[in-house]
Amino acid sequence: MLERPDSGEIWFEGQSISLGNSLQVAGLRPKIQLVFQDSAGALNPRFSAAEIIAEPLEIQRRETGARLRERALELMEEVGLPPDWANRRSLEFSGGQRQRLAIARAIALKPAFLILDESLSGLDLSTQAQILNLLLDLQSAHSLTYLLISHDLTLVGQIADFVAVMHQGRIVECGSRQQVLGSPQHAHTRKLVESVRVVESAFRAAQGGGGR
Amino acid sequence: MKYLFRRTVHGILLLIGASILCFLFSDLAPGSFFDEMKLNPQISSSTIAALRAQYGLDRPLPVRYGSWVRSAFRGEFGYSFAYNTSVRSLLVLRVRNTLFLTSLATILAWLIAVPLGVWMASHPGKWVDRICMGATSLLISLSELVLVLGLLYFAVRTHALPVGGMASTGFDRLSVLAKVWDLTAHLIVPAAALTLASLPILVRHVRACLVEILGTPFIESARAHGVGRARLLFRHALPAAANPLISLFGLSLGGLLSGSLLVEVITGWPGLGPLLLESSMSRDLYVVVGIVMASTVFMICGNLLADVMLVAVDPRLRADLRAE
Amino acid sequence: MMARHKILAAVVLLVTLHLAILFAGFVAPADPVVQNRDFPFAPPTRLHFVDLRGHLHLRPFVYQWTPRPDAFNEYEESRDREYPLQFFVSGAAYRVAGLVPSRVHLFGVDAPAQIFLAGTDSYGRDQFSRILSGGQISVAAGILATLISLVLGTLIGGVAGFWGKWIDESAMRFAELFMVLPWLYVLFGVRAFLPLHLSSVQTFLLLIAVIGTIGWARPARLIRGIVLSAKNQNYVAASRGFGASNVYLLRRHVLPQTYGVLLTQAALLVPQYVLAEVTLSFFGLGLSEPTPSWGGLLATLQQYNVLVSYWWMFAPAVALAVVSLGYLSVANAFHERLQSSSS
Repeated sequence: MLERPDSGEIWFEGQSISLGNSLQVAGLRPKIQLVFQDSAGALNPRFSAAEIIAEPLEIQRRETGARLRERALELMEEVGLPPDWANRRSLEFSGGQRQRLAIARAIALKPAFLILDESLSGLDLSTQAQILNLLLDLQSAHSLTYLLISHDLTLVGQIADFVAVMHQGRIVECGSRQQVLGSPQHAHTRKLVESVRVVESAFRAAQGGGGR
Repeated sequence: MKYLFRRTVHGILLLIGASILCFLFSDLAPGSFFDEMKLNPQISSSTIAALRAQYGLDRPLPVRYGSWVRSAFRGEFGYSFAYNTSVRSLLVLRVRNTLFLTSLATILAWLIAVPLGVWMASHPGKWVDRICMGATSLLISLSELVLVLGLLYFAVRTHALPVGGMASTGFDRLSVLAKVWDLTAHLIVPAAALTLASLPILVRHVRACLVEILGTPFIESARAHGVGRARLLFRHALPAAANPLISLFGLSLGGLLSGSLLVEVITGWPGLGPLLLESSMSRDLYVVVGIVMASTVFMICGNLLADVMLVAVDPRLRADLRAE
Repeated sequence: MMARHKILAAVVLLVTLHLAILFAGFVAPADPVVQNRDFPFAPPTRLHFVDLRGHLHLRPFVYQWTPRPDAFNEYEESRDREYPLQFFVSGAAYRVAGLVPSRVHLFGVDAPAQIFLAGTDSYGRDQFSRILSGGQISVAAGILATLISLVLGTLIGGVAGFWGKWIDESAMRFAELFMVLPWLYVLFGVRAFLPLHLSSVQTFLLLIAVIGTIGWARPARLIRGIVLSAKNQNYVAASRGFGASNVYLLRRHVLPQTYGVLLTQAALLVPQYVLAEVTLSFFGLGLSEPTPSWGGLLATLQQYNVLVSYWWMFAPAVALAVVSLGYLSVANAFHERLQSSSS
């Protein structure tokens, strides 16, 4: 456990894991993984790309030696990074590429559940779109479940099946996408949806005006 | 104000800790003042034992420490076996002499180091910078020991300066002006040696500080705004450098009593250095402890002063304190 | 890269010096303890390339010093015979690095001439040889004491930074205590209070232990800072998320960050500790005669007549300065490399 919960419970695959003892936690680690927002801080700048991706495998002792490296290269290809960059240090990569590295590392242990903590913020729009596509491809390829934390409502609206809205540290509304975004109940949710509509209509108006 | 109080308490605790450590260190050594006497076959061992008992050397460490603390409160700071007087009376004169020498050297060193360091930092890589960096490297390598010996050599060879001690014989009979001149002449070699020894490190620190600050974005934007060189330096860069420089100054102040051992002994300047050496050799325990503690007090006060000055000068720290 | 070249040059210089000192028996032409009572305070032997007849010799030669009949402690060269410099001569016996016996010396001249590259002292002992073997003591003391300080500092600083909270608090307070004491005074005090009847080896080891133990605080602070900031990085959290143990984290992520600082600190501390040993020996608190040490060699300069008349007795100071300069350049180069790699 990286943090201890103050209150409430966490359930995973039908079991409560919030007060997990170390054995339970150790068993769960491969199944739940985390991709941080700050890719630069989340990757050791002195490690090479291959070392970063291979690290979880090394720690969990899934593979060793040459097989370790092969697996790392496989993962690099899967996330769209050229394998001959395997020996480059992580600080030589661009923001989008670092996120790919972080994702590759996160799926190395073949998890079922992936938490993406603001992983797309801080990237420019075109890179965001690329990473998003990657995530969707990986999801269908490995049957992943994502928990995406984001402040970008449009993004959420595009890909989420279920949505939970947080306000001042509490979940104020949750439900399916159509429910929450189509007919928001809570005041805060309504404000959020409204602000998106304002931006979208301005955008469409600008397009319409310029296009003709 | 509260900060001052907290830091003072912290300082006092440090002092107590240091004194305990000091006593522990001195207890490491099994020797004592009376070991020399043991070598003399005419003095019986029972006499020595009686002497030890008289001076309380046979009592356990905590007891000895306790009586030393009591003596400190009385103002005596222990007793010198060799000189048969309170440690305080021995130290007062010596501290005065040492402080005289080291304050002069420290002031000189800072007066030269700051402008030089600033100059070097504003022209990095140019020949002035390179030459001075080389010179400082050389001076650091030629340690204090070599510097003082070298200066002594020149002083003796040229017969220009008196060598050794603080005053010539017949000092009392000189007129006031002559006394001042005599004192100055005796000061030159030790003070020059000390200044030359501490100068290079100071210069490097000042230069490093300033180079770092001159490279920061806020200086660059000021420069882009067209702020002139002098104003940039004095109104923007130096105040920013104040923080590390004040800490450095605190260290310099703290080292006033402890930096001059070598120079004093070699040039015969009657300060703490020769006394420490002598007392160490003769195992005059409480004198050694007294000297070490005196230096420690200075070090703690130096740091304390630096901390207080930092808070007074740096508005960020004041805000931090207010937020607590 | 400029920084890399600088490091290389400085390291080469240092390695050469250390090799010369390590193989002092080989490099030195004479035995450091052998006295030549006929040649007290002889000045350095002059190397000549041009002989009396004006011929140029590629191989330098020396003339033997003979005492001036009318003056005291003054010498003149006796021009009757030239003694060319020979290499790999057979001379006094010694042991290579204290183990293998040998008689070969790097250079020398035929008997009865002797070559005193740095002059002689009051007993006629060759100063050059004494400087080289004295270097073994002084430099070894510096290096060993540095090792002690750094090991202690890394252990304490690392534990404090990694496990934090009260361990950190108490460790840093303890370090503060050590930093506030005037270490030179404490060193003198402790050394002087030690028993007088210790053997050379015991004195040496004790000296190193004391010098090294006093100086752990500053490296500890630095290491602690690095460990603390490394521990709080997100990639360490990520590793923990993968199930990494503390040992793994320390080994793979945290400790590698300390190597740069450790090297720089080592390069800074060695000359300081060599100087500490030299200072102690200078005042007679280090190793005693006849074991040479740079401090002991310099101590004769405290006598007025030696200081004034025999300038070659300053030679150990040159050796000390060269060693310090070497280490300082290395430290600067490391520091530069560290700065450039972290930005």
